[in-house]
Amino acid sequence: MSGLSMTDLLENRRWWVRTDPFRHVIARSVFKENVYRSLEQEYRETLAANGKTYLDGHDLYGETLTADMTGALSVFLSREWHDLLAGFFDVNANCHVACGLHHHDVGSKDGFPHNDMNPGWFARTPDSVLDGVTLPRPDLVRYTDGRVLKPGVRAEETTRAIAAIFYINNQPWRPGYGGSTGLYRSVKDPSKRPATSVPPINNSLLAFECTPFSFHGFIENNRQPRDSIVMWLHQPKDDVIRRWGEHAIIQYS
Amino acid sequence: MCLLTGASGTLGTAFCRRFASAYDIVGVSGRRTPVVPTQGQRIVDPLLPEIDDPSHNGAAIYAVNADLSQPREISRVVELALARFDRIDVLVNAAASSARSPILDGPKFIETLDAALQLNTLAPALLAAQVVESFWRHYPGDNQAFNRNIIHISSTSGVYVHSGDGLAAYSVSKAALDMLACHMAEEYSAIGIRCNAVAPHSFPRAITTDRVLDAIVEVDNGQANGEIVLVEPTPTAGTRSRAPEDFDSGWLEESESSLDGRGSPPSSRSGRAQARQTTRGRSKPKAEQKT
Repeated sequence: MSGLSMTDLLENRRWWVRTDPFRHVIARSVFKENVYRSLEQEYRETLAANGKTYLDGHDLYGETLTADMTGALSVFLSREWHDLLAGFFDVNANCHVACGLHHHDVGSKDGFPHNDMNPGWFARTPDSVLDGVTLPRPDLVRYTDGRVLKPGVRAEETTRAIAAIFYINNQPWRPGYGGSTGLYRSVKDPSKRPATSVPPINNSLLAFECTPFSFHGFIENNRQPRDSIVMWLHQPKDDVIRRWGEHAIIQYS
Repeated sequence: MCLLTGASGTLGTAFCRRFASAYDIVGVSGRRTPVVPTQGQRIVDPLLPEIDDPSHNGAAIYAVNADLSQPREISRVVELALARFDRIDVLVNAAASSARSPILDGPKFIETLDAALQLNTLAPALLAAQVVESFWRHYPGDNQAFNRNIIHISSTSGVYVHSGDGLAAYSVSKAALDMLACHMAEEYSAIGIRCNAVAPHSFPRAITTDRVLDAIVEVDNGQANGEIVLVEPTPTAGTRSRAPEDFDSGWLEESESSLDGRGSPPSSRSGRAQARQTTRGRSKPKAEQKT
Protein backbone atom coordinates (compact mmCIF):
# COMPACT_ATOMS: atom_id res chain seq x y z
CA MET A 1 0.00 0.00 0.00
CA SER A 2 2.99 2.29 0.29
CA GLY A 3 2.92 5.17 -2.12
CA LEU A 4 -0.84 4.96 -2.54
CA SER A 5 -3.19 7.64 -1.29
CA MET A 6 -6.67 7.17 0.11
CA THR A 7 -8.03 8.26 -3.25
CA ASP A 8 -6.36 5.20 -4.75
CA LEU A 9 -7.46 2.84 -2.01
CA LEU A 10 -11.06 3.77 -1.29
CA GLU A 11 -13.88 2.19 -3.27
CA ASN A 12 -16.85 3.99 -1.78
CA ARG A 13 -16.86 7.68 -0.96
CA ARG A 14 -20.45 7.82 0.27
CA TRP A 15 -20.13 7.24 3.99
CA TRP A 16 -23.06 7.71 6.34
CA VAL A 17 -22.91 10.03 9.33
CA ARG A 18 -25.74 9.18 11.73
CA THR A 19 -26.80 10.69 15.03
CA ASP A 20 -28.89 8.06 16.73
CA PRO A 21 -28.18 6.96 19.46
CA PHE A 22 -24.95 8.99 19.24
CA ARG A 23 -22.99 10.40 16.37
CA HIS A 24 -21.24 7.67 14.38
CA VAL A 25 -20.04 6.92 10.89
CA ILE A 26 -20.71 3.77 8.92
CA ALA A 27 -19.52 2.81 5.47
CA ARG A 28 -19.68 -0.20 3.22
CA SER A 29 -17.24 -1.31 0.50
CA VAL A 30 -14.60 0.88 2.07
CA PHE A 31 -11.62 -0.37 0.09
CA LYS A 32 -11.28 -1.45 -3.52
CA GLU A 33 -11.68 -5.17 -3.98
CA ASN A 34 -8.00 -5.91 -4.61
CA VAL A 35 -7.01 -3.80 -1.61
CA TYR A 36 -9.50 -5.57 0.60
CA ARG A 37 -8.22 -8.97 -0.51
CA SER A 38 -4.69 -7.96 0.44
CA LEU A 39 -5.88 -6.80 3.84
CA GLU A 40 -7.78 -9.99 4.43
CA GLN A 41 -4.90 -12.21 3.43
CA GLU A 42 -2.51 -10.39 5.71
CA TYR A 43 -5.06 -10.47 8.52
CA ARG A 44 -5.20 -14.24 8.31
CA GLU A 45 -1.45 -14.61 8.02
CA THR A 46 -0.79 -12.31 10.95
CA LEU A 47 -3.21 -14.09 13.25
CA ALA A 48 -1.88 -17.46 12.22
CA ALA A 49 1.78 -16.50 12.58
CA ASN A 50 1.76 -14.50 15.77
CA GLY A 51 -0.77 -16.31 17.86
CA LYS A 52 -3.47 -14.49 19.74
CA THR A 53 -3.86 -13.22 23.24
CA TYR A 54 -7.13 -14.08 24.91
CA LEU A 55 -8.86 -11.10 26.49
CA ASP A 56 -11.11 -12.62 29.12
CA GLY A 57 -13.16 -9.52 29.84
CA HIS A 58 -14.26 -9.30 26.24
CA ASP A 59 -14.19 -13.02 25.34
CA LEU A 60 -12.05 -12.39 22.29
CA TYR A 61 -8.60 -13.06 20.94
CA GLY A 62 -6.48 -10.07 19.98
CA GLU A 63 -3.20 -9.18 18.33
CA THR A 64 -1.76 -5.67 18.54
CA LEU A 65 -0.29 -4.06 15.46
CA THR A 66 3.00 -2.30 16.09
CA ALA A 67 5.45 -0.12 14.18
CA ASP A 68 7.14 -3.11 12.58
CA MET A 69 3.99 -3.79 10.54
CA THR A 70 4.90 -2.87 6.97
CA GLY A 71 2.45 -4.89 4.93
CA ALA A 72 -1.08 -4.15 3.71
CA LEU A 73 -2.44 -3.72 7.23
CA SER A 74 -0.16 -0.74 7.75
CA VAL A 75 -2.82 1.33 6.01
CA PHE A 76 -4.63 1.38 9.37
CA LEU A 77 -1.52 2.73 11.02
CA SER A 78 -0.94 5.47 8.47
CA ARG A 79 -1.18 9.21 9.03
CA GLU A 80 -3.59 9.52 6.15
CA TRP A 81 -6.01 7.00 7.63
CA HIS A 82 -5.69 8.69 11.02
CA ASP A 83 -6.54 12.07 9.53
CA LEU A 84 -9.44 10.63 7.54
CA LEU A 85 -11.10 9.28 10.68
CA ALA A 86 -10.27 12.37 12.73
CA GLY A 87 -11.89 14.57 10.07
CA PHE A 88 -15.33 13.30 10.99
CA PHE A 89 -15.20 14.37 14.62
CA ASP A 90 -14.40 17.53 16.46
CA VAL A 91 -11.52 16.19 18.56
CA ASN A 92 -7.90 17.11 18.86
CA ALA A 93 -6.54 13.77 17.72
CA ASN A 94 -2.81 13.64 18.51
CA CYS A 95 -1.58 10.98 16.08
CA HIS A 96 -1.41 8.23 18.68
CA VAL A 97 -3.07 5.08 17.39
CA ALA A 98 -3.70 1.68 18.95
CA CYS A 99 -4.81 -0.96 16.51
CA GLY A 100 -5.47 -4.65 16.90
CA LEU A 101 -6.85 -7.68 15.17
CA HIS A 102 -9.85 -9.09 17.02
CA HIS A 103 -11.27 -12.58 16.66
CA HIS A 104 -14.42 -13.87 18.33
CA ASP A 105 -14.92 -17.61 18.25
CA VAL A 106 -18.43 -18.86 17.56
CA GLY A 107 -20.54 -18.45 20.67
CA SER A 108 -18.48 -15.64 22.12
CA LYS A 109 -20.43 -14.03 24.90
CA ASP A 110 -22.32 -10.77 24.66
CA GLY A 111 -20.18 -7.82 25.52
CA PHE A 112 -21.49 -5.10 27.77
CA PRO A 113 -22.34 -1.50 26.84
CA HIS A 114 -19.22 0.57 27.38
CA ASN A 115 -18.01 3.91 26.03
CA ASP A 116 -14.25 3.35 25.43
CA MET A 117 -13.34 6.51 27.38
CA ASN A 118 -10.19 4.82 28.61
CA PRO A 119 -6.59 5.85 28.91
CA GLY A 120 -4.04 4.74 26.39
CA TRP A 121 -0.38 4.68 27.32
CA PHE A 122 2.46 4.91 24.85
CA ALA A 123 6.24 4.79 25.05
CA ARG A 124 8.16 7.95 24.31
CA THR A 125 10.69 6.38 21.98
CA PRO A 126 11.58 7.27 18.36
CA ASP A 127 10.95 3.75 17.10
CA SER A 128 7.36 3.88 18.32
CA VAL A 129 6.59 6.23 15.45
CA LEU A 130 5.59 5.11 11.96
CA ASP A 131 4.60 7.62 9.28
CA GLY A 132 4.20 10.31 11.94
CA VAL A 133 1.86 8.12 13.99
CA THR A 134 2.83 6.90 17.47
CA LEU A 135 1.95 3.27 18.03
CA PRO A 136 1.94 1.15 21.18
CA ARG A 137 5.06 -0.61 22.37
CA PRO A 138 3.64 -3.42 24.45
CA ASP A 139 7.21 -4.59 25.09
CA LEU A 140 8.06 -1.27 26.76
CA VAL A 141 4.89 0.22 28.23
CA ARG A 142 1.66 -1.47 29.13
CA TYR A 143 -1.08 0.26 27.14
CA THR A 144 -3.79 -0.06 29.76
CA ASP A 145 -2.05 1.37 32.82
CA GLY A 146 1.28 2.81 31.71
CA ARG A 147 3.41 0.32 33.60
CA VAL A 148 6.97 0.66 32.32
CA LEU A 149 8.44 -2.69 31.39
CA LYS A 150 11.99 -1.58 30.63
CA PRO A 151 14.10 0.78 32.72
CA GLY A 152 14.67 4.21 31.31
CA VAL A 153 11.55 4.28 29.16
CA ARG A 154 9.17 7.16 29.65
CA ALA A 155 5.45 6.52 29.39
CA GLU A 156 2.99 8.98 27.94
CA GLU A 157 -0.68 9.00 28.93
CA THR A 158 -3.39 9.87 26.44
CA THR A 159 -7.11 9.17 26.31
CA ARG A 160 -9.04 7.40 23.62
CA ALA A 161 -10.74 9.85 21.27
CA ILE A 162 -12.18 7.91 18.34
CA ALA A 163 -12.95 4.20 18.01
CA ALA A 164 -13.24 2.42 14.68
CA ILE A 165 -14.12 -1.17 13.79
CA PHE A 166 -13.34 -2.53 10.34
CA TYR A 167 -15.01 -5.87 9.61
CA ILE A 168 -12.82 -8.34 7.79
CA ASN A 169 -12.41 -12.07 7.12
CA ASN A 170 -16.00 -12.99 7.94
CA GLN A 171 -18.34 -15.48 6.31
CA PRO A 172 -21.41 -14.02 4.56
CA TRP A 173 -23.68 -12.64 7.23
CA ARG A 174 -27.45 -12.85 7.59
CA PRO A 175 -29.80 -11.36 10.20
CA GLY A 176 -29.93 -13.59 13.23
CA TYR A 177 -26.26 -14.67 13.06
CA GLY A 178 -25.20 -12.17 15.70
CA GLY A 179 -21.68 -10.80 15.84
CA SER A 180 -22.90 -7.26 15.27
CA THR A 181 -21.79 -4.21 17.19
CA GLY A 182 -24.64 -2.78 19.21
CA LEU A 183 -24.97 0.93 19.86
CA TYR A 184 -26.90 1.82 23.01
CA ARG A 185 -28.67 4.80 24.55
CA SER A 186 -27.69 3.83 28.07
CA VAL A 187 -25.07 1.76 29.86
CA LYS A 188 -27.98 -0.14 31.39
CA ASP A 189 -29.46 -1.27 28.09
CA PRO A 190 -29.50 -5.05 27.65
CA SER A 191 -26.82 -6.25 25.26
CA LYS A 192 -29.32 -7.73 22.87
CA ARG A 193 -31.53 -4.63 22.82
CA PRO A 194 -29.38 -1.96 21.21
CA ALA A 195 -30.83 1.22 19.76
CA THR A 196 -29.23 0.09 16.55
CA SER A 197 -26.58 -2.39 15.54
CA VAL A 198 -24.03 -2.62 12.77
CA PRO A 199 -23.60 -6.06 11.18
CA PRO A 200 -20.15 -7.57 10.54
CA ILE A 201 -20.18 -7.31 6.78
CA ASN A 202 -16.72 -7.54 5.29
CA ASN A 203 -15.08 -4.35 4.11
CA SER A 204 -17.44 -2.18 6.15
CA LEU A 205 -16.58 0.25 8.89
CA LEU A 206 -18.07 1.73 12.04
CA ALA A 207 -16.43 4.74 13.72
CA PHE A 208 -17.46 7.05 16.54
CA GLU A 209 -16.08 9.55 19.00
CA CYS A 210 -15.42 8.19 22.48
CA THR A 211 -17.64 10.22 24.80
CA PRO A 212 -19.39 9.53 28.09
CA PHE A 213 -22.39 8.30 26.08
CA SER A 214 -20.80 6.36 23.20
CA PHE A 215 -22.15 3.06 24.55
CA HIS A 216 -21.44 0.12 22.32
CA GLY A 217 -20.78 -3.58 22.65
CA PHE A 218 -20.34 -6.92 20.93
CA ILE A 219 -23.46 -8.99 20.40
CA GLU A 220 -23.04 -12.73 20.75
CA ASN A 221 -22.24 -14.55 17.53
CA ASN A 222 -24.14 -17.79 17.41
CA ARG A 223 -23.38 -19.06 13.90
CA GLN A 224 -19.87 -18.17 12.84
CA PRO A 225 -16.69 -16.49 14.06
CA ARG A 226 -16.48 -12.70 13.93
CA ASP A 227 -13.30 -10.98 12.87
CA SER A 228 -12.44 -7.31 12.80
CA ILE A 229 -9.69 -4.74 13.05
CA VAL A 230 -10.29 -2.38 15.93
CA MET A 231 -8.44 0.86 16.34
CA TRP A 232 -8.46 3.90 18.54
CA LEU A 233 -7.23 7.40 17.90
CA HIS A 234 -6.20 9.32 20.99
CA GLN A 235 -6.22 12.84 22.34
CA PRO A 236 -4.41 14.67 25.16
CA LYS A 237 -5.76 13.73 28.55
CA ASP A 238 -6.08 17.41 29.46
CA ASP A 239 -8.53 17.95 26.61
CA VAL A 240 -10.79 15.26 28.05
CA ILE A 241 -10.55 16.66 31.58
CA ARG A 242 -11.42 20.14 30.35
CA ARG A 243 -14.42 18.93 28.38
CA TRP A 244 -15.83 16.06 30.43
CA GLY A 245 -14.01 16.03 33.75
CA GLU A 246 -11.45 13.58 35.01
CA HIS A 247 -14.16 11.32 36.36
CA ALA A 248 -15.17 10.60 32.77
CA ILE A 249 -11.97 8.67 32.10
CA ILE A 250 -12.57 5.05 33.01
CA GLN A 251 -9.61 3.05 34.21
CA TYR A 252 -9.40 -0.55 33.11
CA SER A 253 -10.52 -2.99 35.73
CA MET B 1 -46.52 15.88 1.25
CA CYS B 2 -46.49 12.10 1.64
CA LEU B 3 -46.87 10.19 4.90
CA LEU B 4 -45.33 6.81 4.17
CA THR B 5 -45.27 3.78 6.45
CA GLY B 6 -42.90 0.88 5.93
CA ALA B 7 -40.28 3.41 4.91
CA SER B 8 -37.33 1.10 5.67
CA GLY B 9 -38.66 -1.82 3.64
CA THR B 10 -37.79 -2.59 0.05
CA LEU B 11 -40.70 -0.61 -1.37
CA GLY B 12 -40.49 2.20 1.16
CA THR B 13 -36.78 2.75 0.65
CA ALA B 14 -37.19 2.68 -3.13
CA PHE B 15 -40.04 5.19 -2.83
CA CYS B 16 -37.91 7.53 -0.73
CA ARG B 17 -34.92 7.28 -3.07
CA ARG B 18 -36.99 7.94 -6.16
CA PHE B 19 -39.42 10.53 -4.90
CA ALA B 20 -37.72 12.46 -2.06
CA SER B 21 -37.21 15.41 -4.39
CA ALA B 22 -40.81 15.28 -5.65
CA TYR B 23 -42.59 14.90 -2.32
CA ASP B 24 -41.92 16.09 1.20
CA ILE B 25 -41.83 12.68 2.85
CA VAL B 26 -42.40 11.65 6.43
CA GLY B 27 -41.13 8.07 6.43
CA VAL B 28 -42.33 5.85 9.29
CA SER B 29 -40.52 2.66 10.15
CA GLY B 30 -40.19 0.31 13.08
CA ARG B 31 -36.72 -0.04 14.56
CA ARG B 32 -34.75 0.45 11.37
CA THR B 33 -34.21 3.67 9.46
CA PRO B 34 -34.44 3.80 5.68
CA VAL B 35 -31.11 4.01 3.90
CA VAL B 36 -31.70 7.51 2.58
CA PRO B 37 -30.70 10.92 3.92
CA THR B 38 -32.88 11.96 6.83
CA GLN B 39 -32.74 14.53 9.61
CA GLY B 40 -30.56 12.02 11.52
CA GLN B 41 -28.25 10.70 8.82
CA ARG B 42 -26.48 12.09 5.82
CA ILE B 43 -23.96 11.06 3.24
CA VAL B 44 -20.45 12.41 3.53
CA ASP B 45 -17.35 12.05 1.38
CA PRO B 46 -14.68 10.76 3.79
CA LEU B 47 -12.05 12.77 1.94
CA LEU B 48 -14.14 15.97 2.18
CA PRO B 49 -16.13 15.50 5.40
CA GLU B 50 -16.69 19.19 5.96
CA ILE B 51 -18.69 19.57 2.76
CA ASP B 52 -22.44 18.94 2.80
CA ASP B 53 -23.12 18.01 -0.80
CA PRO B 54 -26.73 18.79 -1.80
CA SER B 55 -26.54 16.20 -4.54
CA HIS B 56 -26.21 13.63 -1.77
CA ASN B 57 -28.36 15.10 0.97
CA GLY B 58 -30.59 17.68 -0.70
CA ALA B 59 -33.63 15.41 -0.88
CA ALA B 60 -33.81 14.18 2.70
CA ILE B 61 -36.89 12.65 4.24
CA TYR B 62 -38.14 13.17 7.76
CA ALA B 63 -37.80 9.79 9.47
CA VAL B 64 -39.97 8.70 12.36
CA ASN B 65 -39.63 5.44 14.27
CA ALA B 66 -42.94 4.15 15.57
CA ASP B 67 -44.65 0.94 16.58
CA LEU B 68 -47.83 1.09 14.52
CA SER B 69 -49.46 -1.60 16.63
CA GLN B 70 -49.82 1.02 19.37
CA PRO B 71 -52.62 3.60 18.92
CA ARG B 72 -50.66 6.21 20.84
CA GLU B 73 -47.82 5.84 18.36
CA ILE B 74 -50.19 6.38 15.47
CA SER B 75 -51.36 9.64 17.02
CA ARG B 76 -47.75 10.67 17.52
CA VAL B 77 -46.87 9.93 13.91
CA VAL B 78 -49.68 12.12 12.57
CA GLU B 79 -48.88 14.85 15.05
CA LEU B 80 -45.23 14.87 14.02
CA ALA B 81 -46.07 14.87 10.32
CA LEU B 82 -48.39 17.85 10.68
CA ALA B 83 -45.98 19.68 12.96
CA ARG B 84 -43.20 19.20 10.43
CA PHE B 85 -45.04 20.05 7.21
CA ASP B 86 -48.43 21.55 8.16
CA ARG B 87 -50.20 19.20 5.78
CA ILE B 88 -50.62 15.62 4.55
CA ASP B 89 -51.55 15.13 0.92
CA VAL B 90 -51.13 11.41 0.43
CA LEU B 91 -51.00 8.57 2.93
CA VAL B 92 -49.17 5.49 1.64
CA ASN B 93 -49.59 2.47 3.91
CA ALA B 94 -46.68 0.24 2.94
CA ALA B 95 -45.82 -1.26 6.35
CA ALA B 96 -46.68 -4.93 6.50
CA SER B 97 -46.08 -8.19 8.26
CA SER B 98 -45.57 -11.21 6.04
CA ALA B 99 -45.00 -13.94 8.61
CA ARG B 100 -46.04 -17.37 7.38
CA SER B 101 -47.79 -20.14 9.20
CA PRO B 102 -49.73 -23.15 7.97
CA ILE B 103 -53.32 -23.14 9.15
CA LEU B 104 -52.90 -26.72 10.40
CA ASP B 105 -50.65 -25.33 13.14
CA GLY B 106 -53.65 -23.80 14.85
CA PRO B 107 -52.19 -21.85 17.76
CA LYS B 108 -49.30 -20.49 15.74
CA PHE B 109 -51.57 -19.60 12.87
CA ILE B 110 -53.87 -17.62 15.17
CA GLU B 111 -50.88 -15.74 16.50
CA THR B 112 -49.68 -15.02 12.99
CA LEU B 113 -53.14 -13.96 11.90
CA ASP B 114 -53.45 -11.59 14.82
CA ALA B 115 -50.14 -9.94 14.02
CA ALA B 116 -50.96 -9.69 10.32
CA LEU B 117 -54.35 -8.12 10.92
CA GLN B 118 -52.83 -5.73 13.42
CA LEU B 119 -50.19 -4.28 11.11
CA ASN B 120 -51.65 -4.94 7.67
CA THR B 121 -55.26 -3.95 8.25
CA LEU B 122 -55.87 -2.27 11.57
CA ALA B 123 -52.86 0.07 11.49
CA PRO B 124 -53.76 1.48 8.03
CA ALA B 125 -57.32 1.96 9.24
CA LEU B 126 -56.23 3.74 12.40
CA LEU B 127 -53.71 5.87 10.59
CA ALA B 128 -56.22 6.99 7.99
CA ALA B 129 -58.75 7.70 10.69
CA GLN B 130 -56.22 9.76 12.61
CA VAL B 131 -55.26 11.81 9.56
CA VAL B 132 -58.93 12.43 8.85
CA GLU B 133 -59.59 13.45 12.42
CA SER B 134 -56.52 15.64 12.81
CA PHE B 135 -56.50 17.30 9.42
CA TRP B 136 -58.52 16.21 6.43
CA ARG B 137 -62.05 16.48 7.74
CA HIS B 138 -61.53 20.18 8.40
CA TYR B 139 -60.57 21.03 4.82
CA PRO B 140 -62.81 19.23 2.32
CA GLY B 141 -62.31 21.94 -0.30
CA ASP B 142 -58.53 21.75 -0.05
CA ASN B 143 -58.68 17.96 -0.10
CA GLN B 144 -60.30 18.04 -3.52
CA ALA B 145 -58.16 20.87 -4.80
CA PHE B 146 -54.96 19.03 -3.86
CA ASN B 147 -56.30 15.63 -4.90
CA ARG B 148 -55.56 14.16 -1.48
CA ASN B 149 -55.80 10.43 -1.18
CA ILE B 150 -54.92 7.21 0.60
CA ILE B 151 -53.02 4.39 -1.06
CA HIS B 152 -52.99 1.05 0.73
CA ILE B 153 -50.23 -1.24 -0.46
CA SER B 154 -51.96 -4.58 -0.68
CA SER B 155 -50.95 -7.72 -2.57
CA THR B 156 -52.17 -10.16 -5.16
CA SER B 157 -52.25 -12.52 -2.20
CA GLY B 158 -55.41 -10.70 -1.19
CA VAL B 159 -57.01 -11.69 -4.47
CA TYR B 160 -55.55 -15.11 -5.28
CA VAL B 161 -54.68 -18.14 -3.22
CA HIS B 162 -50.99 -18.85 -3.74
CA SER B 163 -51.01 -22.41 -2.55
CA GLY B 164 -48.36 -23.94 -0.36
CA ASP B 165 -46.82 -20.67 0.82
CA GLY B 166 -48.25 -20.59 4.34
CA LEU B 167 -49.55 -17.11 3.57
CA ALA B 168 -53.13 -17.51 4.73
CA ALA B 169 -52.82 -14.93 7.48
CA TYR B 170 -51.14 -12.44 5.19
CA SER B 171 -53.67 -13.13 2.46
CA VAL B 172 -56.63 -12.59 4.78
CA SER B 173 -55.21 -9.33 6.06
CA LYS B 174 -54.63 -8.02 2.54
CA ALA B 175 -58.10 -9.06 1.40
CA ALA B 176 -59.47 -7.13 4.34
CA LEU B 177 -57.30 -4.17 3.40
CA ASP B 178 -58.73 -4.24 -0.11
CA MET B 179 -62.27 -4.05 1.22
CA LEU B 180 -61.23 -1.32 3.62
CA ALA B 181 -59.96 0.64 0.62
CA CYS B 182 -63.29 0.28 -1.14
CA HIS B 183 -65.32 1.36 1.88
CA MET B 184 -62.99 4.25 2.65
CA ALA B 185 -63.35 5.36 -0.96
CA GLU B 186 -67.11 5.48 -0.59
CA GLU B 187 -67.26 7.24 2.76
CA TYR B 188 -64.25 9.54 2.59
CA SER B 189 -65.43 10.92 -0.75
CA ALA B 190 -67.74 13.10 1.35
CA ILE B 191 -64.67 15.04 2.53
CA GLY B 192 -62.90 14.96 -0.81
CA ILE B 193 -60.52 12.11 -0.03
CA ARG B 194 -59.94 9.28 -2.50
CA CYS B 195 -58.81 5.82 -1.47
CA ASN B 196 -57.36 2.95 -3.51
CA ALA B 197 -55.19 -0.11 -3.06
CA VAL B 198 -52.16 -1.06 -5.12
CA ALA B 199 -51.83 -4.84 -5.08
CA PRO B 200 -48.53 -6.00 -6.51
CA HIS B 201 -47.27 -9.49 -7.14
CA SER B 202 -44.02 -10.49 -5.51
CA PHE B 203 -41.40 -7.78 -5.94
CA PRO B 204 -38.61 -7.55 -6.82
CA ARG B 205 -38.76 -11.27 -7.63
CA ALA B 206 -41.65 -11.43 -10.10
CA ILE B 207 -42.01 -7.75 -10.97
CA THR B 208 -39.71 -4.79 -10.52
CA THR B 209 -40.09 -2.48 -7.56
CA ASP B 210 -40.17 0.38 -10.04
CA ARG B 211 -43.41 -0.93 -11.53
CA VAL B 212 -44.99 -0.81 -8.10
CA LEU B 213 -43.74 2.74 -7.65
CA ASP B 214 -45.15 3.66 -11.05
CA ALA B 215 -48.54 2.33 -9.97
CA ILE B 216 -48.46 4.30 -6.73
CA VAL B 217 -47.69 7.55 -8.48
CA GLU B 218 -50.29 6.94 -11.15
CA VAL B 219 -52.93 6.41 -8.48
CA ASP B 220 -51.80 9.47 -6.56
CA ASN B 221 -51.87 11.72 -9.61
CA GLY B 222 -55.04 10.24 -11.10
CA GLN B 223 -58.69 10.30 -10.19
CA ALA B 224 -59.29 6.62 -9.39
CA ASN B 225 -61.34 5.94 -6.30
CA GLY B 226 -62.18 2.57 -4.77
CA GLU B 227 -59.96 0.61 -7.14
CA ILE B 228 -57.70 -2.34 -6.43
CA VAL B 229 -54.86 -1.87 -8.88
CA LEU B 230 -53.14 -5.17 -9.55
CA VAL B 231 -49.52 -4.99 -10.64
CA GLU B 232 -48.64 -8.35 -12.13
CA PRO B 233 -45.91 -9.79 -14.30
CA THR B 234 -46.47 -9.33 -18.00
CA PRO B 235 -46.93 -12.67 -19.80
CA THR B 236 -43.58 -12.47 -21.57
CA ALA B 237 -41.58 -11.05 -18.66
CA GLY B 238 -41.09 -14.34 -16.80
CA THR B 239 -39.57 -14.40 -13.35
CA ARG B 240 -36.88 -11.87 -12.76
CA SER B 241 -33.92 -12.93 -10.70
CA ARG B 242 -33.08 -10.77 -7.74
CA ALA B 243 -30.28 -8.31 -8.35
CA PRO B 244 -27.75 -7.59 -5.58
CA GLU B 245 -29.03 -4.04 -5.17
CA ASP B 246 -32.48 -5.45 -4.32
CA PHE B 247 -31.07 -6.50 -0.93
CA ASP B 248 -29.79 -3.06 -0.17
CA SER B 249 -32.78 -1.62 1.63
CA GLY B 250 -31.59 -2.11 5.16
CA TRP B 251 -28.00 -3.29 5.28
CA LEU B 252 -26.90 -0.59 7.68
CA GLU B 253 -28.67 -2.21 10.62
CA GLU B 254 -29.43 -5.69 11.75
CA SER B 255 -33.10 -6.48 12.10
CA GLU B 256 -35.78 -8.61 10.56
CA SER B 257 -36.32 -7.98 6.86
CA SER B 258 -39.59 -6.21 6.17
CA LEU B 259 -42.07 -7.22 3.55
CA ASP B 260 -40.83 -7.16 0.02
CA GLY B 261 -43.68 -8.97 -1.62
CA ARG B 262 -44.55 -12.61 -1.92
CA GLY B 263 -46.26 -14.79 -4.42
CA SER B 264 -46.03 -17.53 -7.00
CA PRO B 265 -44.48 -17.22 -10.40
CA PRO B 266 -46.61 -15.47 -13.06
CA SER B 267 -50.23 -16.64 -13.27
CA SER B 268 -52.73 -16.44 -16.08
CA ARG B 269 -55.65 -15.81 -13.71
CA SER B 270 -57.18 -12.36 -13.75
CA GLY B 271 -58.13 -10.41 -10.68
CA ARG B 272 -61.17 -8.38 -9.80
CA ALA B 273 -59.60 -5.33 -11.37
CA GLN B 274 -57.84 -4.97 -14.65
CA ALA B 275 -54.10 -5.46 -14.46
CA ARG B 276 -52.36 -2.33 -15.64
CA GLN B 277 -49.06 -1.57 -17.19
CA THR B 278 -48.35 1.73 -15.52
CA THR B 279 -45.88 4.43 -16.28
CA ARG B 280 -44.61 7.02 -13.86
CA GLY B 281 -47.21 9.71 -13.39
CA ARG B 282 -46.60 13.41 -13.17
CA SER B 283 -45.11 14.15 -9.80
CA LYS B 284 -46.76 16.67 -7.55
CA PRO B 285 -44.24 19.55 -7.49
CA LYS B 286 -43.53 20.75 -4.00
CA ALA B 287 -44.11 24.34 -5.03
CA GLU B 288 -47.77 23.61 -5.79
CA GLN B 289 -48.38 22.26 -2.34
CA LYS B 290 -48.22 25.46 -0.41
CA THR B 291 -51.47 27.34 0.02
